[in-house]
Amino acid sequence: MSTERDTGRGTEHDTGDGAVLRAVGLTMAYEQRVVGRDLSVDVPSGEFTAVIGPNACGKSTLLRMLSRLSRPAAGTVYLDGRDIHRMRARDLARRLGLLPQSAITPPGISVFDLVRRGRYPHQSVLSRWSAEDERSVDRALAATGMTELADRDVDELSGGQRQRAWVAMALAQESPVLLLDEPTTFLDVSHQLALMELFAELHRSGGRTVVAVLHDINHAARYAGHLVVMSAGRVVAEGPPAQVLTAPLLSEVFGVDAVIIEDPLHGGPLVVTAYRGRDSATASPERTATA
Amino acid sequence: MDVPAAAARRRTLAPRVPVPGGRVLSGRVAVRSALVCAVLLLLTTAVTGVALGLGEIVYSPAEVLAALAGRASGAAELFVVGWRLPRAVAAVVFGAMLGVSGALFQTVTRNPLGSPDIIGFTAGSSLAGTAAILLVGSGFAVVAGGALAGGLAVAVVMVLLSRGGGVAGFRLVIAGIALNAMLLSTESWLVLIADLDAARAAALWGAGTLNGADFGYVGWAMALGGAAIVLTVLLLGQRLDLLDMGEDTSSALGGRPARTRLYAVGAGVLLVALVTAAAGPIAFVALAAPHIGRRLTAGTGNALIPAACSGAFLLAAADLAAQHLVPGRTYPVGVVTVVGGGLYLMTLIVRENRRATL
Repeated sequence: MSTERDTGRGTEHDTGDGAVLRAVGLTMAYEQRVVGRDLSVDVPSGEFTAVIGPNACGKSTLLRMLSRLSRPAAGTVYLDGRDIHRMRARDLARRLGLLPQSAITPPGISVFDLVRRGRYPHQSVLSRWSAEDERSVDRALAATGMTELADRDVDELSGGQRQRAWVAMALAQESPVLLLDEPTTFLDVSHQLALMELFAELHRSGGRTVVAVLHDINHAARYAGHLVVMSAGRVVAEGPPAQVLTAPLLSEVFGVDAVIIEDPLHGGPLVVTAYRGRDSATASPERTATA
Repeated sequence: MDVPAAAARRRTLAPRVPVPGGRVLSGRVAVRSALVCAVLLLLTTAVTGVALGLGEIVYSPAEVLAALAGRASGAAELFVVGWRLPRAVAAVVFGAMLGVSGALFQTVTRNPLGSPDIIGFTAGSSLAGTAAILLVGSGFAVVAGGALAGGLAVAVVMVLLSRGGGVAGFRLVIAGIALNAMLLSTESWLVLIADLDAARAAALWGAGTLNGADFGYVGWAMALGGAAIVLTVLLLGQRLDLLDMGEDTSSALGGRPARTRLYAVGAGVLLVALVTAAAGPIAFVALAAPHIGRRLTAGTGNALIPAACSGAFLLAAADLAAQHLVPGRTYPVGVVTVVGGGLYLMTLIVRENRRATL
């Protein structure tokens, strides 16, 4: 795991084992409005990386660019050393999966049917459905605990189950790299924890590289091995949670007073925050910057 | 740092009971879908059989079968195979084409009203076809070229109009309804200022009719349309399903949503333009067929095949009604679909309005 951001800038990157995703010199812009400039991020291979930062800091935008949903105004995103904008759509989808926030559940779709669609990048006009597809869907359902709900309509499920069904869809894609955009938002705490456990398990036993945009700093600190902290379109800190999370950083980035103690249950850092007053919250460049 | 209990619990779940033959088509939805399509095709065949038998001279089913097999008298063969068969087959194939076109447009616009006959594509093809008849002549190639150009021109206008609002949604439908009205009134004006004979030909075509359909004239449209349907289902079916899951999901799965929408609109315009060129504008089949297919199959996804089946049945039935509902008079099939489809549209609007999903 490297915390230096300048190694091998713009050159082919030696990935060692497993996939690695890196952004080099990104300029993020909507229409003409620049929301972030000269942004570089390394996503360590086989690690759980969490991206945190205040609203409108550009973390969702970064995720969109890492997954080719948006094209950066300048700069390049490399996956296994290849520019993702030069890859074929299905090749990219086989290597890199994404669970976006904007996912729409088609009315009346069953869990199995939804998860099955995650296999699209592995299929072609001639080979529609293989034993491998079947196994992947089964594995994804088992990993998310959705096996017994496979024939249920997604619409009928609880919020937590529905999100697990979507995660299963993304897992069935079997991409070595998986990006998640605020995957636990709108869930109650036990469902949040269940999903965080699942993501941690994915990289621990499956060796996948997981990148998640998260709201909860303490969830990020507990489950992620690598933190990327963003503020106003810049990456302000990168590294293991215990090193990155400091009171001055939290003060600067989130505009809160914070005490960092050792988590009595899990070890690692635990952030206890205190409200400092309305005026000290960091000014964001544009509210609309995070989707 | 580890809390493996939850993960461990998940692992102890009983394995799923294997389903014989796998779940290639995902179980009950596919079975129901196949059943519904089979029933629709059966009904379509029955309607077609009746259409072949009825007319000035009524033939029994046995006589119709004999004629189709080439074992009937010269007169029976002329009536059944020479005159009635092209029309009946055209109704089935054009119905399927309109159904698929409607399903494509409704998927792209994500709106049950986003079908080509509501948002101006049929009207655009019709206006350009009328102009072609009035200015050039009524050969198939001329009218087809005009209709296709009209459909594509509408597509360009719609893309410009819906800019900023996205191709999906309400804005496009409203703009399309307005455009539709403008195109229809322009067509009326063209017919009014034309000389009488040309105007009569244009007006007859403009009502949407299968009268006098013969394979020489409509054969090309049917062959091209059939090929377009097969290619669309094979190449776009899955990608349209992904589009239903949202732009970002589709893109993340390698479904290339922007290109998929472009191809879908292209195929939709082609199908509508071919039918319009061959038979004139036939309204409401493209609107109703996908809904009916979807309701009957209770399925999800693009539902191209159920839409094709219900479209075929609807137009075959409508043409049978146009020929024989009022004894001694034959109406253009477009009149029947407008009357029937108008009622359908009203119930649809009332229902969707109540659910506030429009």
